[in-house]
Amino acid sequence: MTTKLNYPAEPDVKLVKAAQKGDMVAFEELVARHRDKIYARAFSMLRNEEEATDLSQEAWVKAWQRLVQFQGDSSFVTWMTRICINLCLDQLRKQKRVRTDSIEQMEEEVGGVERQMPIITPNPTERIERGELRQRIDKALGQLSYEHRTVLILHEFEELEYKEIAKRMECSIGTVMSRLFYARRKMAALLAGLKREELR
Amino acid sequence: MRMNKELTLDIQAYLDNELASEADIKRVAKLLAQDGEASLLYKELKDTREILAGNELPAKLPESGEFYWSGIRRAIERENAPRVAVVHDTPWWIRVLVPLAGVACVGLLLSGIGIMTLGGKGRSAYLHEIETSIDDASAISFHSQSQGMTVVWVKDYNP
Repeated sequence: MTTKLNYPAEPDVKLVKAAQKGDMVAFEELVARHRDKIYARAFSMLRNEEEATDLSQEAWVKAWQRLVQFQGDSSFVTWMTRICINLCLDQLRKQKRVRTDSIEQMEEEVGGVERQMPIITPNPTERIERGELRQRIDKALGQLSYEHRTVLILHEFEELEYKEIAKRMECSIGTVMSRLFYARRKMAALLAGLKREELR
Repeated sequence: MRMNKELTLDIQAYLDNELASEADIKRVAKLLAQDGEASLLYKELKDTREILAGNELPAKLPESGEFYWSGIRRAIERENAPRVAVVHDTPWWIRVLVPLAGVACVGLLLSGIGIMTLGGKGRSAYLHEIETSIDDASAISFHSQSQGMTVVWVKDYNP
């Protein structure tokens, strides 16, 4: 005997089980719960609303197709985010193929620029409203190249290890370390710069 | 101590708990305790990491949830649609002959159009061709394309 699900009240695990059996309503509920988070991850990586919307939808379609493979080793939303990240990385790789890297970007890739930057000490205890701080961080992230932004997002927000980032970005661990180092130093400089601008 | 690239990356790996061996951890900890520049760099990296933690700007979908879902559902339905396999129950020679016949028909049609659209000279030559069984007679014909009329004068030389 099957019991009727009260979709909005059910936990993800139960909805996933139902969706794995082909219950589209259960899947719709999962989409409604996590669509903003998945879209946000796509947007943070691609920095384009339209692309982020399309790609996050594609991620949901892929998730539906691969739902039987989900074993529950991580939470559903973590699994879903990984699918979205992989699609974003594919998309960024495609875009990179048609883009010409600037000399500055090439220097950043091989390393060296970050070591010449003066050491900056942003004050984490400074009293800034959280929303404002988030805006500043987002603006600074937007000024990084996609390689540096991606490494930073995957490490700081997705909490992936160097090895995992290297695997996903199809590069060496050394490259991940260099990119992360550069990205952090640049972020420190950009956040400090924003502070100085405000004082004027 | 002047820091090279390897050292700076070791400091970062120390911060991220990514150093492989206990020996490396001890070496970097000692460096941070003794070297002012290394210690400052460590602090910058640590502060930046702390500022970023939990402070990602949340983004909301720029379109309604219903519209967003309808796009996903349509795509899933498209993917799930059964693919119709093409089954050939006609003999192979018919499958070859039918396109050939089609090509032949098109060829005939084109040649017909070619005759009809020939220039004025060609067309009047075609229309002026008159047969007569009378040996002592000659004929002159006139054709008006605009009026759709053909006039033929037949002259008999016999009195």
